[in-house]
Amino acid sequence: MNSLYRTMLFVPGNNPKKIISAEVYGADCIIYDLEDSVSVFEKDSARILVKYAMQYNRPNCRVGIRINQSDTPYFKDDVKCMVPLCPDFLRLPKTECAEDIINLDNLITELEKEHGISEGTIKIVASIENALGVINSYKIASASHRMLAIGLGAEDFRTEMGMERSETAEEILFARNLIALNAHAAGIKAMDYVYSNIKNDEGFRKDTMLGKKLGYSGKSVVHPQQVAIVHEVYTPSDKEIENAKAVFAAYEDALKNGSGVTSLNGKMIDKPMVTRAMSVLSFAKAAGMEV
Amino acid sequence: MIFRGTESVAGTNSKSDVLVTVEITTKDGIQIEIISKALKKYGDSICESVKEVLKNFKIENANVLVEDFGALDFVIRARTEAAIMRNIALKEA
Amino acid sequence: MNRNLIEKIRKISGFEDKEMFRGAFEVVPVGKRASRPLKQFKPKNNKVMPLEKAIDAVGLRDGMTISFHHCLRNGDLVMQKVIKVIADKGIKNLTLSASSLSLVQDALLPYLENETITAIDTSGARGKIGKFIQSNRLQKPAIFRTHGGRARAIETGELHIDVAFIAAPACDIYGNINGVQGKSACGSLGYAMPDSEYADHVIAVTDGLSQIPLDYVSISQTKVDYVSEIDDIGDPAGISTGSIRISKSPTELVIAKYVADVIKYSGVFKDNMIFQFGSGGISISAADFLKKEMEKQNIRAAAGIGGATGYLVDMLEHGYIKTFFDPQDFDQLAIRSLYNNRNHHEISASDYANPFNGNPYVNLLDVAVLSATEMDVNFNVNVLTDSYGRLMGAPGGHPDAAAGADVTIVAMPLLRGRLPMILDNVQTVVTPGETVDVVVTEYGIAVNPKRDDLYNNLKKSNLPVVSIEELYIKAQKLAGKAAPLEHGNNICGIVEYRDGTIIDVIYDI
Repeated sequence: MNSLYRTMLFVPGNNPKKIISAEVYGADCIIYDLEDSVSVFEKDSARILVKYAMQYNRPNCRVGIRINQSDTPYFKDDVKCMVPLCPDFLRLPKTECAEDIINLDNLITELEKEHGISEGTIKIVASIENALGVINSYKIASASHRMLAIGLGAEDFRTEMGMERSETAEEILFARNLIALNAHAAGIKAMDYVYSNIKNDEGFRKDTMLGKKLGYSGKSVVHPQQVAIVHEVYTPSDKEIENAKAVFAAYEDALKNGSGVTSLNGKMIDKPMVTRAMSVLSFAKAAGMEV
Repeated sequence: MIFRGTESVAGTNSKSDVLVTVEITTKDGIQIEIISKALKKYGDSICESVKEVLKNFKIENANVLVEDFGALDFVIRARTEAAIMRNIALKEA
Repeated sequence: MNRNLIEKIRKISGFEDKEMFRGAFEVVPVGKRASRPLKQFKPKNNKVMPLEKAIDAVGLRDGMTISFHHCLRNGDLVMQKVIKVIADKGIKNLTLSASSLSLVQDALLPYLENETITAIDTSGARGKIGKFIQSNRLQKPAIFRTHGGRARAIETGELHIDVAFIAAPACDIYGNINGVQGKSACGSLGYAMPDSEYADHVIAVTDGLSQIPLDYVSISQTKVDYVSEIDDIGDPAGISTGSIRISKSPTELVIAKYVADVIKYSGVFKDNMIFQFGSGGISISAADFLKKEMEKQNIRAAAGIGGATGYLVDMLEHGYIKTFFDPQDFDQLAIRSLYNNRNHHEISASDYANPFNGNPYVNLLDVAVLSATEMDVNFNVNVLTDSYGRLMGAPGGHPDAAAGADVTIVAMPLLRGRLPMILDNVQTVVTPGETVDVVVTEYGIAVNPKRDDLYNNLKKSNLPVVSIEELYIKAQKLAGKAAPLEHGNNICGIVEYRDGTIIDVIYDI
């Protein structure tokens, strides 16, 4: 299991076939969905199916659960049923403010205690899907020590804002920027939104590349075929890897020799450069490259 | 299998899924009918799993119909549990 | 397979000399090829006559062996039409030798029941014919042969054909035949060629009679005794599929990508490589992934071998494959290519796969991508029966290509529905594990332990290489424990390896 969050693959929680096959696509993370992909008549059976899938057939990667939003009658049951299964995180949709997170945090803490899970094990990923949420995104991102990532729910956001979806996604650029900025300000990850046109691989690739440029650490995906594309985009080039290796080697040399100043080819190497080199190398490793 | 009109269903007829119909009764023990293409190989296994889930709920009398579409064991257990919970809710209502 | 079984088989009339399988290349052939009667045909004579008369003319009688090819696949009408005429004449106790039997041959059931046909040898059987065989109602066990094995049996004389009926999509009045023209075009007639060369008598059955010589000849007039015209030799919908497309199933695409990557890292991915891809969705998709890699690394295949599909002939057309050797075509694009593309060659079943000739084309293969219905932990493959032991497939060219290829890749899902496809024992061994090198599933890739070289090459990649036991355990974990299957004790079919030894048997159900 690698430590990256390049891909979060959504799997409909009431669909056995998709649940069974989800683990073979190589996603860094699988999210069982109890929300939008499950009809209101099947919320109970989806919850139970996901429970059994986690107990009997937990995939060999990170696993999250998208629960229903705080103001629905399913929210509490979702959390109660899922926390004992010890998923890596719960993903909360339509997060508007810090209170939504605090509320969920308290509930998880209570349940962790009840089930003998050490406190703070289960993280939270928040999806922000309206204007108020975007404005509050720093507060949301820093509302709990459980926060792992935030991301934009682009479709709902567009709807509220009265925006038409464009291929270049410039209408959501500001929100996308702001969320990435606030995620990093709070010291957590920014997870890019779902690109819903599953037939347009090229458009998807471009959109993923833009997300990477804006500081997102990965992308939520709804189709298995999108996994490989995201991983490709997040795979560093040979040149990047060579440079990262050189930076890292120079840094280690400096540590060994106890010299305060590190330089490579006459250029100073500072801490951010080293951090960046380490990140490049971990992405390369996850892509199966020899580093 | 004949139900008395107080049964509950869970699951779907999609590939890899199963439809489980449960009616909790008051006498005659547990009756299970299984319809499956894999009956020869997995009939016994399906029966055992259904019984185990019923036992978890301490149910001793029930009619259960399992219509299998190639479901794995955990799916059969999950759908059985969902049908039981729906039937319990129905009877409490 | 145990010793007692072979003793049991040898007690059956006609099977006294049968040997047990003992290794893929252990049998050394001796002797000469079989022959056929000399013929004479004087100028201005006429070969064209109604089927009823042609059957009389060749002297067909009780107890003889008649043969058919399966190039019209599930659209074939010739077997049922010819056998009806024969049955109407009151002829009984025939041996039916078919290069394979598709589902459409369910129509032959009445002729099995009324004992017009009392013995069968074929590559595959399914449907009602499969059921009939497994109800143990033939006079002796059916023989299941590989494509190469059938050619071998014909050429050695082990399988002697009295009358071959050759379904001919195009045939001229002189007896020249091809499969690429006419309303029932089926492409290569590779599987009919051994029959046309070794049967005592050959009758072409056609719905595409030409009054002038054909411009493309697959089977020449020198081999054909009579030509009979009938209304329809086939149903085009069953003869060729629509174009076989790249798979849309995400799981199949995962398998296909792994297959392409296995080839890429196997050590045989070089310019002028030679390969065979099957006709299924996974194979076609694997070929598509491989094509992209060929493009990237500027690699071209010297040859493609085996069943042709639209996708492969497109690669031929665009130079990714330099030449193609083709015993069978699956779709219209492939059929058209065979007729039009001078780099696309029709070859016989013997050329393709017979282990006892100068060098069958399968021996050229660097890579063969094959499928399977089941595999055991020793890499033995079943492609003949289903998980319940029922006849549903055919050895076809599977054991032949596996034996010939340097790297034999079997690609299949780990589970079909709830049924695990990697087991401790398969229902029927058709292709021995010693000839299979890699199995690719969506859950991982396992390399046959005898191929350390391949294992080391693949381990250098990022591919999920695991042991076959791990795949077996994964499948068991997902599927849960199955009850053991019961079958009868009567042998109603024998499965021949390509060299003629018995590799397994089919029991009654």
